[in-house]
Amino acid sequence: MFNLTIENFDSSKKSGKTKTTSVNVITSLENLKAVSGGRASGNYPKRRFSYTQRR
Amino acid sequence: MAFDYFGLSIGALVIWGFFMASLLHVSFYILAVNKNVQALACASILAVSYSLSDLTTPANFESFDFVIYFLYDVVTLAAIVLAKYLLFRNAQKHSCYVYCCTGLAINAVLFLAMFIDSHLLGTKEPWALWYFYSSTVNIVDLIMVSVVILNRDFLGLQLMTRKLLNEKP
Repeated sequence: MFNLTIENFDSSKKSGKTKTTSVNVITSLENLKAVSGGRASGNYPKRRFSYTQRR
Repeated sequence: MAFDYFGLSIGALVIWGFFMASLLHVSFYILAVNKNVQALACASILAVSYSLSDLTTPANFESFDFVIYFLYDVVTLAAIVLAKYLLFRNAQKHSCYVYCCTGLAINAVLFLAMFIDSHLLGTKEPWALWYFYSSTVNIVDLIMVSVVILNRDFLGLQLMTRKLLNEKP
């Protein structure tokens, strides 16, 4: 879903830094799925995302 | 998928709706516009219950949380029934009372089913019951918010219970 990273648009050759940022965003968004959301959310337990496991 | 984050906003919307409903009925009561004690009691009890359940459960969803939500629903249902007998025992049942009791009972059954399936039976992957629970809890909660604000029998549930229990309108 989030394959399009900031790195692809970066022409300043600081790809290492931007890649780290984009990975953090992906991890944060994926981890948000595991958040409860409360009683009225209708959510159920989801596994927490691990970037190293997906790679 | 965007649907993964949908529940987060719906959960917040439902609590906000219950608080708005209780504020609405408190102001109606104070201004003597409409002294509907049933709607006021239902909205206040639900707002307090849903807020407390969100504050007391952890942010990371675990399968054990379903039994806590189930107990919250049972206690809330008992509180609404107790409020009826203490505050408006002889009054005609309003739509908000019938819908809140039915909604809480449906939610309680679903939480118990999810607890049995995910915690006791150890199911890890979502299946039909989980999707049914997810959509039904959202729909039931939004219906409860609407009925607590509007106090209208728009699904015919009150009419049906009157016919089943042979009560006079």
